[in-house]
Parts: sequence; C-alpha cells; structure tokens
Amino acid sequence: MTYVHPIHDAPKTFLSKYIISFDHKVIGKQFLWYGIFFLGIGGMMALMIRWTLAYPGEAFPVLGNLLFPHTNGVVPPDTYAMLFTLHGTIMIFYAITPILIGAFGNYCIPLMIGARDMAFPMLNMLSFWINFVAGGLLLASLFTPYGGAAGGWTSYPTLSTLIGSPGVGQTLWCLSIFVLGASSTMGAINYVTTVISFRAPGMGYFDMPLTVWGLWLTAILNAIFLPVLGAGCMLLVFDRVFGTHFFLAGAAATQGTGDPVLFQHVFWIFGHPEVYILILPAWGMVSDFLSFFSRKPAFGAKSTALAMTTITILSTVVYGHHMFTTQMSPLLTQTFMTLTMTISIPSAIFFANWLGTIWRGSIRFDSPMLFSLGVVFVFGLGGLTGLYLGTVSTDLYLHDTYFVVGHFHYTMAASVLLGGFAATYFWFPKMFGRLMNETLAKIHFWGTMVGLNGIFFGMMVLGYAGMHRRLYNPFVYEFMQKMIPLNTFVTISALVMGVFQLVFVYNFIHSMLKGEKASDNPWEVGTLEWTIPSPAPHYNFKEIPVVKCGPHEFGNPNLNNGRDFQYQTEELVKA
Amino acid sequence: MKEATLGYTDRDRASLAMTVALVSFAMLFASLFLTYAVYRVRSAMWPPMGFDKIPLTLPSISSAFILLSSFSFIRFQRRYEKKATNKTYYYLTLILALGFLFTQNQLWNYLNETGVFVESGTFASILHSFTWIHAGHVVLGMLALIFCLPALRKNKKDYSIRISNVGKFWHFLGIIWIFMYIGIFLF
Repeated sequence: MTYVHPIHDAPKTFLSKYIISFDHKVIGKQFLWYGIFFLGIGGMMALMIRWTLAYPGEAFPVLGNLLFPHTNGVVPPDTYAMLFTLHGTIMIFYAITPILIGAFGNYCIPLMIGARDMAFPMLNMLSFWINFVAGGLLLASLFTPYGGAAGGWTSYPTLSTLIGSPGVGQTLWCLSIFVLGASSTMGAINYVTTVISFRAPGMGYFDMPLTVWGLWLTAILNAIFLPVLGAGCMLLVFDRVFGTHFFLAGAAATQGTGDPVLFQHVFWIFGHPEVYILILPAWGMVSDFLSFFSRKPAFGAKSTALAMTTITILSTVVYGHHMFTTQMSPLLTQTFMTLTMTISIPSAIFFANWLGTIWRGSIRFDSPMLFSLGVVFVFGLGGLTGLYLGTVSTDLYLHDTYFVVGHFHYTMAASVLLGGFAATYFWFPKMFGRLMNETLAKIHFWGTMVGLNGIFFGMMVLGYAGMHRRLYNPFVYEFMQKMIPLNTFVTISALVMGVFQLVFVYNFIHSMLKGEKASDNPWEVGTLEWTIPSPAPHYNFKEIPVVKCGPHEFGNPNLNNGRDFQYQTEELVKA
Repeated sequence: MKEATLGYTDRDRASLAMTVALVSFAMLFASLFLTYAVYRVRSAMWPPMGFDKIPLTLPSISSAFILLSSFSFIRFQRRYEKKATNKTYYYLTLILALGFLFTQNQLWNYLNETGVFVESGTFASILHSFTWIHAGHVVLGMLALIFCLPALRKNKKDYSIRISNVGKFWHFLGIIWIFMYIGIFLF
C-alpha cells in the first residue's frame, strides 16, 4: 500500500529545471544560493556596525562614500540603528533559516530517508518562492522614505510603534516576517509529513541519521511557534496601520491603554524556540559528522536523539529568561531560571555523547570534521556563557550588554555558521558531483575560527566590562573610552573573518565549475544518500532502498570486505 | 533490525499534513486569545468605562450561519463518499459562508455607528481586529471550498481527500468563531 513517488522524466526547459522546479534537490540549491546572498548582505552590515564602533566618525572604506554620500561616508546614527536591526533580521530569518533548514533540510531529508521527493513537492516550491517574496519585502523597506526598520531585530514596542519608527519601513518588516513565517510553516508541514510517512521500508525512527532528527524537531517547533510571532507581527501592523491600541501605552494611547511588554511576551514565546529552531539542524549534522569522521559508531545515538527531543520540549517553557528585567514577579523569574537550568541536563548528555564519539576514534581531519570540531568548541563556550544569562542575579548586570551579544553569537551565529559550512563541504559532492578544494577549505576554517573567536570572545569581555549594546557611539561615556582598543581588535577580527569568507566563495564557485570529479561516496559513509551516484539523479533512488542497519555502522571488527563501514542497505555483519 | 511497516496511504499523509497545518493556525489564534486574556484580566472593568456590552444579536446570527454551513458541508461530504453527489449542500455551504461574512460586515458597521471605532482603545481594538483576522481566514476557507468545485463534475477522479481536508479547515474556523463568540461577546 505504501505510496512512492513514480520516476518522472527529467525536466527539460530552463524554467522547469532551475526556476519553478518541484525537485527537492533543486529547491535545496535555490535556498542555498538565496541564503548565501543574504549572508553576504548581512555580513556587510555587520562590518559597517563594527567599523562604526572601532573608528567612530571615520568614513567606511570603499562602500562608505557610495552609500552615505551626505555624511562623506560615515555611517549616520539612524542608519546605524537600521543596520543592527536588519543585520539581525537578515542573518536569522534570511540567511541561517534558508541555509540550514531550507537548503539542507530540503536536500537531505528525502535523500537520507530513502525517498524520491518530499511529500508535497508543489508546497515545497511555493515555500521557496513565498520566501523570496518575503526577502523582497524586506529589501524594499530599505528604499522607503524613512528607511528600513530600526527597532532592533526584536522590534519591541515602543521602538517599533509609529512613534518609535515612523514610515513604512517597520510595517514592511512586520509584513515580511509574517510572509516568511507562512513560507517556513509550509516547509515545516512538508518536513514533518515526509519524515513520518516517507521513510524507506525498514527505517525506524532511531535508524534515521541524527541530521534528519535535528531537522525534523526543528520543523515541529517551526510549525508550532512561528504563528505566534505571526500573530504578534499582525497586531503590530494593525497598531501601525489601523490605529489599534495593542502595544501602545501612556501618552501614545489616546483612549485606554495597551501593553508594550505584551509584545515581548509574544515575541519570546516564539523567540526562545526559534533559538533551538536554528541550532537543532546544526546539532544533528555535527552529531553525524563526528561519528562519520571518527570512524566510530555515534556514542549513545539514541540518547542524543532523545536529548534533542527533550530540549525541544523544554525550549517551549523557558522564554521568560529573556525578560528578567521587565519587572516580572520574583516567583516567575525564579521559575524560569530553574527551568532554564534544567536544559543543561539534556545538553550535557548530548555534549558528552559528542566527546564519547570522538574518544579513541581514528579521526580523519577532513574539512567537514574540522568545522564540526569547531562547532563543539564554540557551542561549548556559547552554552556555558548562557548559564550566566539564565541566572537572574547575574543577568540583571549583564542584560543588554555586549556579553549577551557575544553569547548569542557564539550559540546562534558561530555554531550554526560552522555547522552550515561543515554541511556544505560534506554534501557538496552529492549536490554538484565535484569535490571542494581541501586546502582552501582548511585555510577557510582556520581563518574563520580565529576571526570568529576574536570577535565574539572580545564582545563578551567588552560586555562584562559594561559596554551596552546598540549604542551608536559608546565612547561618549567616559568609562567606556578605555574600551576603544578592544573594540578595534574585535573589528579587525571581523574584517579578517570577512576576508576569509571570500576564500569560501571562490572555492564554492570554482569547485562547482572546475572541481575534481567526486566519486559516489567520497567520505566513505554508509547513509542512504551515498548509495546513489554523484550528483544525485533527479529521481534519487532507482529502487526504493530497504534499510537493514543504523546510519553509524563503522569499525565493525567482523567486517571483512575491505571497508570499515556498512551501507544502511546491508545486513549488520555479526561474528 | 526489526521491519518497520510504513503503510502510509495518501489519505494518512494528507490528514497528517492538515493536522500540522491546523496546529499552526490554532497557535495563531491562541496567541490572539492570550492577548485578549491579558487585557481582560488586568482591566478593572470590562467592557471598559464608556463602552457598553455588544448586543448578542449579530454575533449570534453569525454563529448560526457558520455552524449551519459546517453541518451543510458534512452532509455534502457524506453524500460524496456514498457517490451520491448533491450540489445543493455544496452551494448551501458557500451561501451560508457568505451569510457569515455579511453578518460580520453588519457587526463592523454597527460598531462604527455606535462609536466603537478601531482606534478607541484596547476593547475596540480586540473586537475589530480579531473579527478581521477570523474573517480573513474565512475568505481563505471559502477559496478552499471553491477549490472543491471539480468534485461536482461527473468524473472518475476521487476528490474525497481534498474534501475531507477542506472540511477540517472549515470546521476549525467554525470552532474558532464559537470560541470568540463565547469569550469575547457572551462573557
């Protein structure tokens, strides 16, 4: 009775092959290009922010005179607010989400569970193009009379009401997030259904690679919590356009009074799960890569999957730790603090599993492994610094300082970025049939790793010293003037990291066109996507595979066929 | 390795996807109700000073329309599954849905005539915007109903999955309206 997609003819025209494609692999690549494009824009914005903090009042090199001619190339204060707002929004919603969830979710889920396509290919196609519309709306907001949104990526009222940010920019921001939410929800519906109902015969939930686990849990969180942000954005749009009073208070509310803090609640009910939405795919991938490149079964794979599930559930009840300074009742803050601390238990479990996996493995230091080890390091740092922010007493001091900025960049930016690079290097051969250049990849890794730690560790030190976030020129305050050298260091690190990303872009494009031809299984890994030719044919699997063993069968002493791994389609070799 | 049996049919898949979609929609409306609960619980009196309770006539007519349309769609679906397609119940569903939108429009007119404008504080904001958002979804639901139109033709293709999913969405909107009726208008 099981339905499988029939093998279609390969699409012929340019339009059906590359633009309006229903093929999950093409949609995945579309998302990848789209995400990398926005990563470039968001990264450029980050450099402008950093430049302003290190060299206040000096013209931004090269692009400055082009973008801000009326100030001779210096980033103006209002533009600065716009830059940090859109940097956050773009990186979270238009770079990380499309790359990790859109690109690798689409590309990997059907291939790794042995399906010919997603459950609903047309919904998948619509999901990409609606996302494209959302991106268009956001970019369009930059060209409105008062410029783009400038209320921070969290868009708290009153910063985001008509008084805080007049003009159409903020309204377009809300609309674009709403449309993006619709697109992501459509993707999530597809992922959840596909994982549940399209697994190849024989594949139980614990036979799925952990990558698929991560993406699946992410999709569940997406489907549940994105609509909450959608509701918040919608009410904010009503406040701005129709004059409702949901988030207006004080003199702004002409009749009756709304509640600006309510938006914070709605935002973080979504926002805390969102943190896990972003990191779960990277966790899953890293759990797999560590096993693949240590040539060892993933230590406690089942408990890793269960720990991720536990975190998914716990992530829904801890959002209050973002709002300790909003005069919450102490009973509530302590409850949220305790619940937040509970998350360390499953986190410690899978972290120990990661270390257990590489312990005494015969590690191959290929580029995906290097990036995965990078994730282990930066996520360790990011996770541990989270404890100080989850604790009420320390958070009262650290709230809204650069410590917070450093912390969430370590968890959400550094880990996810490194995880995304690991995934790109790992699946590139299957995507394009060619290998990426290993030497350039290693140069890219070390440059990124050094730059990234310089930036984010520097930020944490600055924050601990008391530097507030979102200030145009913090050095007008006397006590912060001593921090100019450290800020300069952070900015130089950012420039270094930025330069090394050019290596990646060159490597990506050059390898795609002229790289060394890849074999079907260049990494010697047993999951289903490596049983088919590289690049994957449009129908994926000629015959739907039957799964007979788990995804991490490495180094089995009973294997005697010259390989140290087993394909998932092979019976587990026993003594 | 135990053999997992994955006998998912198209119908299972469709109903699974619809369930996830309805969870998403439910969370959207749940957030709205949360907003409402916060304002309601924290205000000294409800409706606030200067406002009267909204008479139940129009909301009750709306409720009747949307409930009847749901029942009508259930009749249509039952007949379709017995291969005895009856156009009457399908068009009746659509007409009742239009009736619902008309009554909602009357409600908005009434609110504006009695000075409960959308700008007049949180009470009015909630009345207006929640009914707008719901009505917007009803329009989506009506598009979904129209999407079932091919099922009326005498052809061999089976539309029962589509009809059952559209039905779920339509009943869901009815249930949300009943929640609004009880939560916002009745109490």
